[in-house]
Amino acid sequence: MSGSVAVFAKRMPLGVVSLIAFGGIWQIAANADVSPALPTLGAVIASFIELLGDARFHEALANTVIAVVIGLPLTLVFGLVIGVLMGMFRWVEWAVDPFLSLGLSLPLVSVIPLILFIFGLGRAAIVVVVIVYSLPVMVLNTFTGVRTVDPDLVMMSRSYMAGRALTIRRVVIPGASGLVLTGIRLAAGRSLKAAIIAEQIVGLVGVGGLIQRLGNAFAVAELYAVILFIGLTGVAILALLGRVEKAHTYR
Amino acid sequence: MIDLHDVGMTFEHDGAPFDALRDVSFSIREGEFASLIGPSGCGKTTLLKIVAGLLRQTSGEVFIDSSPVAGPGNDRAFIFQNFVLLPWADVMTNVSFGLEARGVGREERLLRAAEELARVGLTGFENHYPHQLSGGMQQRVGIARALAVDPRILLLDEPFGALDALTRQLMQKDLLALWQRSERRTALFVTHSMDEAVFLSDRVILMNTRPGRVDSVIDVPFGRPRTEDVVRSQEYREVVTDLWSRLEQMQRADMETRG
Repeated sequence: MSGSVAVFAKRMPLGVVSLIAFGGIWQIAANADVSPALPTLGAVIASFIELLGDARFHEALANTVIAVVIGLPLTLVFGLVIGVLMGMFRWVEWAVDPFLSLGLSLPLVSVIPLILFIFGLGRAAIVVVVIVYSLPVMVLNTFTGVRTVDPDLVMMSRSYMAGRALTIRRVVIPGASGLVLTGIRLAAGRSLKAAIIAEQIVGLVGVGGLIQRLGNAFAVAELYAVILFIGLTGVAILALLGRVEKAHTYR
Repeated sequence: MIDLHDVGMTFEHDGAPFDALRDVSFSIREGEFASLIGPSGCGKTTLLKIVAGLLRQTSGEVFIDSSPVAGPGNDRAFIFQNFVLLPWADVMTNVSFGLEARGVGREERLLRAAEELARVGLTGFENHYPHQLSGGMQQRVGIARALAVDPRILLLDEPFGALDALTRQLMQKDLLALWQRSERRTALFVTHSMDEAVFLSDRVILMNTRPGRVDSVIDVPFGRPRTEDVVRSQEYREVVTDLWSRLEQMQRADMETRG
């Protein structure tokens, strides 16, 4: 713990300095009126504060959060089950592998229209996009985690004639937990991304929809404010899950 | 009680078949402590895993009380060189793992695990995790885990190989005392330490390499119960020296054939 504090203290000043430098250059460029797409920092911060109290933003945010809150847990459960089965049975691995490769390599935007076509423009479609985008990383991490469980431990379990359930509970799941937690972190980040991109394409609901509308209206300062909000939220989620991950890593 | 009939193990190595074991035959009596010793690559650990049912031989047959070995069994427990404890589970959970596998209820599990921990001198460490223990203590946990399932046969794969010399000697003495004090389970012990083999065993099975095979079987002329005084006797020196020279000859012959 004290180690991570020391590292934080060491990195913190440099991070702050680089942020301040970035803000300074921004402000100079904005004052010089380089581009209409570059509002002053003051305008962005004012929009940000206004945004936090805006009812339309609250509604949009609620929509996005609900899509993630439904989609992410489903992703985690399905991902864990599929990943564990893939790691334990060769035939499941062979059956799922092509879909996994496809899911990891297909650009999200290329499949969204298809999903919208099938599920309509409502929340169901957004949730499906969230799952389609974040499931592959969860499956891959769980699968890899299960596959890299210490083979000696599996042999030990076999030597004591432990059943499959006990082996999964005492050996496989804890052994895979490091990579599973990384999978959860990546899936969480991806689910937020997927929800916003899908909403943006639908253009009506959620934070993504709001971004689309603000963009169309050239409301540049407000647009930056929303992006700032999403960025801060993402960083906070990743930091939180990263901390959980660290606490559950075994030597 | 343990009978090996012409056991062979052929691996595929770089596309060519490779005999890890060929025509290995011997018998271990009930209650006997036997050591398998030989140069590295003689297949002693492979042989132990075959007896454990963790590996399947490619030819021959292994019998335990006249029934062929088809896999791991309740009658055997394996003690690993690298302890192989669950790093995320405390000592209590580790020791009772075998009991859990056998479907023993929680209360009885804890009771029996506590008993075994007392036997190996680890009372008070129930809630410690493996990484908090020294190597010697970790192997005590491994031994307690094996004893907890009350096996008739103990299979030990260089159990003290990963320990420093001093801890190793201490563990040898403790294992001897533990084994002599209790029910005299049948034990098959893989090692490459000649002193260890002679000190602990009733018989030493000397193996040779390429292919892995039995070279000779040496009767250790010391009765039971045995104490560490044995180590200081002239006879002990002679047995160990004899083993040394046999192993040295093997090693030389092996080097000459390899060129």
